Amino acid sequence: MKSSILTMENIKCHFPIERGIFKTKQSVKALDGVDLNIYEGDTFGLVGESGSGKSTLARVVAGLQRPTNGRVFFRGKDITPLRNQESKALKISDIQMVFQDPYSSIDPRMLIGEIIEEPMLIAGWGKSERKKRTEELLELVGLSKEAAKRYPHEMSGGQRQRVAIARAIALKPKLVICDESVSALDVSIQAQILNLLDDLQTEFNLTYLFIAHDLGVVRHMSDVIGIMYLGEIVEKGMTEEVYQNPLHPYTKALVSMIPTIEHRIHNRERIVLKGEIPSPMKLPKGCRFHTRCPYKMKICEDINPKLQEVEEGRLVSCHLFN
Amino acid sequence: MYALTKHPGFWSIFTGGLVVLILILSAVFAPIIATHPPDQQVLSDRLLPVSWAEGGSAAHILGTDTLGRDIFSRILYGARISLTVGLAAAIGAGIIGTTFGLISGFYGGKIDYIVQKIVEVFQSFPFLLLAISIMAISGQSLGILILVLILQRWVEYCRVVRGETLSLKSREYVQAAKTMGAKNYFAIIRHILPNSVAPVIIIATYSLASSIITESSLSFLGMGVPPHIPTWGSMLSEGRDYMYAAPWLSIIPGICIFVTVIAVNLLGDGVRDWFDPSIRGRS
Repeated sequence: MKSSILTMENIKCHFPIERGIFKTKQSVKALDGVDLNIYEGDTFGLVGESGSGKSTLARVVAGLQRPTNGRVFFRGKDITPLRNQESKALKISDIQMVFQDPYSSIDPRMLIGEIIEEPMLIAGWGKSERKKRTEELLELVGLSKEAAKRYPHEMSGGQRQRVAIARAIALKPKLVICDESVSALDVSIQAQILNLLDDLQTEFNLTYLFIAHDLGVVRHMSDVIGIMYLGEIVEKGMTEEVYQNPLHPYTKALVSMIPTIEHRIHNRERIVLKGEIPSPMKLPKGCRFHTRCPYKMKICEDINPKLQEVEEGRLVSCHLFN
Repeated sequence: MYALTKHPGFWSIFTGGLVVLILILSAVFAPIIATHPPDQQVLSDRLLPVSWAEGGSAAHILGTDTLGRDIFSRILYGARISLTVGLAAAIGAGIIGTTFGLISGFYGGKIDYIVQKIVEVFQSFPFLLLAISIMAISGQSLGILILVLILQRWVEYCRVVRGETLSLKSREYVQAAKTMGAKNYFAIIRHILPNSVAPVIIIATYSLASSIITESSLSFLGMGVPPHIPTWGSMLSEGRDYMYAAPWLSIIPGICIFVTVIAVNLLGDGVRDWFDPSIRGRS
């Protein structure tokens, strides 16, 4: 039995907004009661369309965003407070993040060497230690030692993402959050970076929280996946099981849209969802998905289903399964 | 390694720096270089044109003013006040404005609100009234004059740096520094300040020039330096009455201000290019 590395309990993240002359208080419910459990050494894939709250979740885990409600535990310790403030409970280096855009996640004015050294500098390492570790890291991510003396603008997107990865693993973290880390790259480069992430995971026993909207990439990377819709996790389970046999109507629609070669042979039905994802300011009453669901029932309009275990390790929030 | 001269910004720094250096040296060594005492009046030699023009005298290289004072010597002595005032005001206001801009933009919320309200008060308050009140309370001196100019100028830096900071603080590399556990001041000094330095240099060059001019209008109202001490600004405004009869009275100090501004501008541009990695390596 693997032990849990990250646990989130009922995480809510609401951003208040004030509108108009009467300042009517509304709030964007980016996350609305997310429970999550990530096990040591696993890759947890998080999928969902834009605005479903994936990145907010990543920011909460990374300690960049304080949740409105709920607690985050890292190996049983509460780490809900923001990272750079009250970080007593957590060794800072334990959770690191690789961002989406390698063009904005590294400072254009700094040398590659300085960028990779930064976490060590913050952790208070000496100069020679930093230099040695930087060289090691460059080699680990497949860059030459000379790269340390170059500037970001001299590198390609893939190389920059390697730099960002080197920086993230510099202090030997346990959990690495990859927030759309490959979606800004070309497909061929994506594959290289994914392989690099894979190799690093084996070598250092890393746990990944892997966020993406590309279902193919997530399938390749993840052991467990969670599907997000409007700030909630609607389905969770082992990756292959979810892909082979999606239960939630939303997951079904997503999976049916993955372009495959078999698709033509089996003449699989494509489920095209109607309409847009509703605004997170005005969440639909009842089930979040009922406005677009092809299997809508009476109960869906009134009661929001809870995430419930339907099989061993398989959770779905849908009235069809209760 | 490549030659230093190929480094971007080298020639700008070299040219601008050389001119600024010459200006500063001539101000420092004014007593040695000057051909006449700056306040010596020879009324029989009034309004002599520059020495190479018709009617010019070799004794007065750049001619004389309405009271027969030697313009060349007055320019040299004037450089002392004008350069001190200009540089001190630009640098002092730059430091204060940039600091508050960084704090205001980075921390946001109540701090931002308070700092920006103070900025608005400074912007809406008539500057001359402020200057007069301060001078009335504390008396005249060069230090007070510089202080008044700093009070006038810091708001521009503050506004611009705040704006830059607002956009920079949400950049992912600043976020990344935070996930690495960086304290706020670390992120500000290491990432935000270096990336917002370009507009600061531009404001500094502009604010240097306008401080030299503002000094003259304050002196004109009797609130700057006493009238017998020459400054470029005051020479410029004194010459205005004789624009048709003796244009060199204003043109010469005007050229001096112009050259200073161009030189500082070049220097600033060069410094910015020197430290901007993205144009390094291009020739």
